[in-house]
Amino acid sequence: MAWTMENDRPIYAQLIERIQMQIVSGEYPPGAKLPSVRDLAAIAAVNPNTMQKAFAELERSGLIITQRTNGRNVTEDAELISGIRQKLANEHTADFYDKMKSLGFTKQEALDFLTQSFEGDKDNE
Amino acid sequence: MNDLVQIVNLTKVYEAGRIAINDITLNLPKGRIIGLLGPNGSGKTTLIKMMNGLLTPTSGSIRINGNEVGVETKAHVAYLPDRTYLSGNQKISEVLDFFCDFYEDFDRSKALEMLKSLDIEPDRKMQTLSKGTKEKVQLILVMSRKADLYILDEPIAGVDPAARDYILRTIINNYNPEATVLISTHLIGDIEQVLDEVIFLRYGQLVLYTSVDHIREQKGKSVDAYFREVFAC
Amino acid sequence: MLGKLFQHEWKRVYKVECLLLAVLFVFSVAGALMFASPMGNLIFGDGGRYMTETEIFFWTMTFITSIFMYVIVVIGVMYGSMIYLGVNFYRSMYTDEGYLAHTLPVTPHQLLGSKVLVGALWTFIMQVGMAISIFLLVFSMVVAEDPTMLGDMKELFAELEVLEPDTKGMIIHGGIMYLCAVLVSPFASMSILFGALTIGQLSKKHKGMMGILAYFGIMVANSIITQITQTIGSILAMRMESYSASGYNEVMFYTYDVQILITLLIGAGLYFLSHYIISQKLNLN
Repeated sequence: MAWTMENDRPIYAQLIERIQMQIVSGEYPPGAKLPSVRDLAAIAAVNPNTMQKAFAELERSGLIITQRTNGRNVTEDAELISGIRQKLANEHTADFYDKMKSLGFTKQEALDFLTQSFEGDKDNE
Repeated sequence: MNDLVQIVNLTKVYEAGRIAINDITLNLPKGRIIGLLGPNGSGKTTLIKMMNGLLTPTSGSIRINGNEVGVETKAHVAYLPDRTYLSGNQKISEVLDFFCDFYEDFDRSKALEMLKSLDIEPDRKMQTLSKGTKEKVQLILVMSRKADLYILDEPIAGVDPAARDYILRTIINNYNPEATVLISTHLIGDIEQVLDEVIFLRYGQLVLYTSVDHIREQKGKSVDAYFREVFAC
Repeated sequence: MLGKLFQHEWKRVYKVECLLLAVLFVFSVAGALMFASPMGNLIFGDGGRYMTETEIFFWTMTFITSIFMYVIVVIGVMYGSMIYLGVNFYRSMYTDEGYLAHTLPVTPHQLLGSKVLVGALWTFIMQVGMAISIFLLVFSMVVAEDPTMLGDMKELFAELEVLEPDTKGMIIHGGIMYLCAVLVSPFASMSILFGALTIGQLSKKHKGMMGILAYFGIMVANSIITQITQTIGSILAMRMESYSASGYNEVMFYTYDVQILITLLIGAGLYFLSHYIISQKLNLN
C-alpha cells in the first residue's frame, strides 16, 4: 500500500514522521535493519530522492545508523528512542490541547473529557 | 556541467503563427524524476517531440548530454509517446528482438520478467492486445532500457488505478541516480509523491521550475492544489 | 545498423510481396498450360477439323478474355506491389509508427536507404517475374500455334551470330542499356515514390494526400521531359539520317540513354531531398 500523504506539508517531513513513528512504536525495534531507500520508496510509492532526504535527516538525529557494509539500522540507543517518543507525545498533547482550547474547553474540562472518553473506551472493550 | 538536458531559447511556431513553445530556457539535472505539468494545449507534447527529434524547432536549441538531438541522443533517450507506435501484426517477442537490435541499452531479460509479472504472453500479437495492455507493453519496452533520460508522455492518462500504481512503481523501481525521468501529465495529484521537481507550462511558456517540497514548504499546499490556483481562469 | 534496418524492413514486406508474386505465377502457369494444352490448339488453330463460325467466335473470345485477364493481373501485381510499398513506407515513417522509426538511433540515410533498398529489390524481383511470365506465355502461344516454331527460334538466335557488326553493336548497346534500366530503375522509382510521399510532409495539412499529388506531379513532369527529349531526339535523328543510314537508330538509342539518365537524376535528387526533409524539416503529426 502506498503511504497516504497530507497535502499541505513537504513530503520528506511526512516521511520522517512516519519512519519515526514506526521506530517508536516498535515496528522497527532498536538495532533492526531497515529496508533500502529504493525498496522503502517503492513501498511508500514516493520519490527515492525524497526518501533519501528523509533518511539523511533521521541519520542526523541519530535515530538511524548507516553502516557501510550492512545498510541502515535503527539505533540501539533506547534512551534516544524514548526521548523521541516523549517529544512526539508532547507534540500530540500540545496539539490536542490547542484544539480543545479553540473548541472552548478549559484545561480542567479538557482533562476531564479525556479521562471520561478513555473510560468509555475501556467499557467498550 | 552536471546538467543532462540543456534547452536554450527554444521556440516552436506552428502554422498561422500559433506559438506552441515560446522561448523556453531550461536545464534539467541528472538523477531526478521531473513532472512536466500544464493544461491541455500548453505545449508539453510539442516540447517532448522536439526533444526526441520528431519536430524541428523553429529556433533555439536542445542538447542532451551535450549533444544536439540526433543519433547519439536517440541511443540514450527512452521515449514513451502518447500513442501506440508498434505495428499490429508483430508478436511481442518480435518487438523485443527489434529493440535488442537497435538499442544497446535494452535488457531483454528484464523486459521478459516484467511481462511475466503482468501475465502478458510474449507470443501474443500486438493487435490482439487491449489498449491498456498495449500501453503496458510499451512502458515495459521503454523501462527495460538503461537510458540516461526517460521521457514519458502522459503515461497515466486513461489507465485504471491499479495500472497507474504499477506504472509509478515501475518508475521508482527503475530509478537510477545517473538517469532522469521526465513525465508529462495533467493529472498531478496522482503522481505528485513520486516527483522531485515540477515544470509548469502555460501557453507554451515556462511558468515555474522548482522542487515539489519547495512548493509545499512555501505555499503550504500540494503541487496539485497550487497548480489549480496558478491555472485557474 | 543499415543491415539490421534492411533485415527488419524485409521482414515487414516479404509476405505481401511473395503473395503478389504467387498470384502472378499462378496466372502465368495457368495461362501457359491453357495455351499449351489441346485447348490452345482450338484457340490458335482449327483443332484439326472444320469449325463453325460460332465456334471460331467462341474460341477467339476465349483468347481475348484470357489475355485481357492476364494483362489485368500483371498490371495489378506490378501496381499492387508499388502501392503496397508506398503505403508501407508512409505508414512506417509518417503515421504513429513513425514515432518509433524516427527515434531509433540511426541516421536518416540508413533509415531511408534501407527502405529504398528493400523496395527496389522487390520491384526488381517483380520485373524479373513479369519478364519470365510473359516469356512463358508467349512461348506457350508460339508452341500452340505452330510446334515447328521451336526449331525456327533456334535459327533466329543463329542468325544473330552472323549479323553485321553495326547492327550487332546496336543490339549489344540496347541490351546493356536495358540491363542498366532494369537494374537501376527500381532504385529510381522507389526514390521517386518515397521522395514524393516525404515532400507531402512539408504540407501543414493533408500530408498523405499532398504526397500522392506530389507523386503524380513528378510522374507527369518526368513524362513531359521524356516527351521533349524524344522530340528533340527524333528531329536530330532525321537530320542524321541524311548523313548515314544507321544514324537515325544511333541517335534514337542515345535519346533512350538520356531518358534513363534523367529518371535516375530525378530519383537521386528526390532521395537527397527526402534526406534533407527528414533531417531538417521533420514535423510529425
